[in-house]
Amino acid sequence: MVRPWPTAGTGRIKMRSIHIIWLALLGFTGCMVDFYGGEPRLQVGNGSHRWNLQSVGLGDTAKPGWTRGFDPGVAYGGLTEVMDLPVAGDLKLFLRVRDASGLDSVVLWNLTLEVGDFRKLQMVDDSIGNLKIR
Amino acid sequence: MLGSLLLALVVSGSDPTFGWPQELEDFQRALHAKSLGYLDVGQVQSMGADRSVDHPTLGRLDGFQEFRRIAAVVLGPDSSSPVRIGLEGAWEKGGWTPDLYLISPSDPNLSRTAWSVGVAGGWVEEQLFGMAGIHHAGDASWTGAAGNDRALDPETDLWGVLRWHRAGLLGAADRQGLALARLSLLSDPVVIRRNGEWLVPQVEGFTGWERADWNRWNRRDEWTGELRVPVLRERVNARVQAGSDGFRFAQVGSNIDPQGEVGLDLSWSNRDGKSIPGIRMRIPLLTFSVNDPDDVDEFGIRGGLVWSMRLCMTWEDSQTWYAPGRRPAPGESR
Repeated sequence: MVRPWPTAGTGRIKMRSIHIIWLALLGFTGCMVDFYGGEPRLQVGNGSHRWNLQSVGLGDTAKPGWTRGFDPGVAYGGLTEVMDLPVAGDLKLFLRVRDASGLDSVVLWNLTLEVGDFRKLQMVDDSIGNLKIR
Repeated sequence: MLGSLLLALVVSGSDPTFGWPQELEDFQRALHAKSLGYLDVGQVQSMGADRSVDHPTLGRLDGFQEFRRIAAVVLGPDSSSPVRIGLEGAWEKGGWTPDLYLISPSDPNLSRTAWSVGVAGGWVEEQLFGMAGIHHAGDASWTGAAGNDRALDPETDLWGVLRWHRAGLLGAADRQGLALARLSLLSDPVVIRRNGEWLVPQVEGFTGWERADWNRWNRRDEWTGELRVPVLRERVNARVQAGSDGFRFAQVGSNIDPQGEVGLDLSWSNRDGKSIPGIRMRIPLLTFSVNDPDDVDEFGIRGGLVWSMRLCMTWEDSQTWYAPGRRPAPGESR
């Protein structure tokens, strides 16, 4: 009177098929790693006559999560290479700059970048010689 | 008499971590007294970056959530034994990452590992199945050059599942008290012959209570209820869940093959004022989902796109297996 329940699957599991399916899915997942992601990129140009760019970093200046130093520093008219940042979001960026007397200063900058974004920042002097980022 | 009772009890000692509440519900729905084993290997990941994680020094970051897990229950292989004793084990790992990954996440990432071990027992004549164990989620900590700050402390839970016939109770509790209570019922299978075809419709549902921190959507303690009904023979079924916070989701499942192993399920979730369409594709052993309501419950929307892949099955014997949540033959009164 009662037939087998229609949603009960019965049969031998073909392990070879399962392995093939899993390998295909892992490959598919691996492809999507690059498809959906992408590191945000940053480039800094120096339009300041007074300040040389020594390094760029993210996070705490004493213990940065990421930093890139330049030796020699990036002088007026110079441009850094395009740098891959490890994270995107509302980031705490700092720039370490040096004046002609050898005095270092740190400029903090709130940088907003989305995954895969590219941003170019430009260092300039304002009318009274202070460093500006734009 | 085909009447039956399903009883389940879960005791948890913390807020839900990863997909553990989802796993416990699958234990409850998938296992029964004559089960031989259960296996779930899965991955859930968000595929749209969202700005939802605060790093202690770097700022508020865009990124992805990715979780992987494996859970297994193995019971004594002697199908003629009136009592089956077994073991449960589970491992979960995942967290926040700045990019999707295949093997290991890039730095900085926020990662957490959890595991569970337990014992299980099935009493065939009494139609009773039970599980109990421990679930431990380690601390969630940042890795990378910016530091290894701890974001979440370790948590250890005790849990148990008890099921009796076709109706039951699901509950969860921790040091703060009851976290989840759920009364569930799977109706007696009624055999109907219509136009020469045999039909065995069954209705399944639960009503329950969830503490505010049981899932990411609750703003306060909520009552909840769910109903699963057949709509068009074995081919189409519907599932609706609502709570005291209102409509939560509706899902229409369609079985492409008569055994229900291949199917396409469509859903519409409404959580926290956000409407989320979802789709789930089932093939033998494997389930693929995008914004599946169960995943949305556990992992949130996360950039508008949550994708999951699961290998999930229950063994009745060495040659008989069921896909997630499927029921054994009602005529065999399991």
